Amino acid sequence: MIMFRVKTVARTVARGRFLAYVREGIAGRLFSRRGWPEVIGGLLLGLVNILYFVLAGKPFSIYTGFLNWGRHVYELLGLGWLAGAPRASPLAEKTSVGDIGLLLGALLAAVAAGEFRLRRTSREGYFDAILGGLLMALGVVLAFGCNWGGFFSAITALSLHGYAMMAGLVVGGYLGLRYVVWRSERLFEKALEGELLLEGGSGAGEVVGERVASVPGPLVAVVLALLALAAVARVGGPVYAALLLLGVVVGVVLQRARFCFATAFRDLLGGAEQARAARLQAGIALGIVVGATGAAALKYTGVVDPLAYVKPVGPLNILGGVLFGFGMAIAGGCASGSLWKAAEGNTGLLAALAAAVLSYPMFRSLVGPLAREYASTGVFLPDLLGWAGALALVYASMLGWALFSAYLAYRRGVDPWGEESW
Amino acid sequence: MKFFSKGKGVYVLDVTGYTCPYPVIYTRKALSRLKPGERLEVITDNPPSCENVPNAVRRDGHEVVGVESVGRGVWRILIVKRG
Repeated sequence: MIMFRVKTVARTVARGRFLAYVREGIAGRLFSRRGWPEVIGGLLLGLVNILYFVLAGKPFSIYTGFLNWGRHVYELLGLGWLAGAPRASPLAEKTSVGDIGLLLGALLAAVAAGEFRLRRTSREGYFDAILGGLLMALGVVLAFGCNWGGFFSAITALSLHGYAMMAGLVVGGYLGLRYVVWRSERLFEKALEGELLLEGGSGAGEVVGERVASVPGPLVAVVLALLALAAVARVGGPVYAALLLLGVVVGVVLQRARFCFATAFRDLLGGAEQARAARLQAGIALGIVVGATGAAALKYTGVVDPLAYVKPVGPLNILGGVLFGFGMAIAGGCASGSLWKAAEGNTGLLAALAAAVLSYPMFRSLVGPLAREYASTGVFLPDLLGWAGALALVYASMLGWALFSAYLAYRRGVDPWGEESW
Repeated sequence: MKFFSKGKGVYVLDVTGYTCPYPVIYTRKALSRLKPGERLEVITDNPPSCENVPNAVRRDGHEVVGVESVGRGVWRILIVKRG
């Protein structure tokens, strides 16, 4: 496949067709079946996080947007008194705008790569997705953020609560792996009881042909993105339009690098995709290092409030991380994963997304006050260690984490960077 | 999920609708029921699986003949069981 691509590119260059070269050689490579390396994905996410910090005064996060969406739904249903009233239009709320951009970016990337398809899953799949969505939403209330606001962006913002959730994610991811293994045993045995090895089953090619959903072309995705940009620029203003575009970049990067936090924590301690988990952890670590460097500069110089995104830290964050980690592992996607996979046409993750959006405002109303009551105060790492010390801690811990993740794979005979690609 | 024989020594594992890590897990389970030299066609609509399944299968010592697109957003991974 790659050889074929190289030959086609060589031929178009020989004929001097520059536009064809751009399409085949550049777009063809960026949007091929081969995803981008996870480390490149992490690097880009770290850089976008800095830009987002400059424009929004806070790092990239997800769930505040879900809160906004959910509250709008409940207000329409007349339940605004219970869920709380939305503070702004979804087109004029920073996190919501970033989420919308993420959805559109992932849709664009999926369509460009020919990977968009309405995917249905099994009854068990929807059950796990909805249960996972609910557990993630509850975890976010306890951890004061999701895998972005509670972990990736939290450490980036030099807040200790990111490390607390990270510890919980490792435990929750491992419990999720045990669940996934149990689930797969049961489903496979069930499939064996049915139609296993019956000679002359229906040919798969035909079955697949019938299931291909008609999909909107890249043009539809671009038009959708432009409409959203115009709407956000009109309702929210230019800063919000810029945040939308950053969200689009995040969506493209997540979809292309298959940047799946769920896989990273689920298969860290020995799952079926441990090599990819180790590469993803290296990408996450690099993203945090890059993002933290930028955030430290912005906070040190006072461009943004030094205490921006410093949230309470304590045992609750760890518990929230466990619930969130287990939830994302069984749902098959984290907060951003639900968004980019739903945008690829995955209805299972769409169900997880809906469950999270609808339950988060309720959990916040019901459990939130309790969580805030038991929460300790926030810890800003530079207050504890000084600026140089805080950055040194982030660099050392992330380097150590990436190496440790690679070691866990290596110990089981899996070489994270030794895999061929197609 | 469907797992059936398409002809003599050729089996089909249809895991459309399943996301990571199920395609890799089911492919391994299916391969463990085949005899050396028999072929398995894995049908998946989960994009990362086009890389994850071949990588896992090759690591286990089997042969990956190819990955081909069989419709928009659906792929067929051709594997020969070894060992």
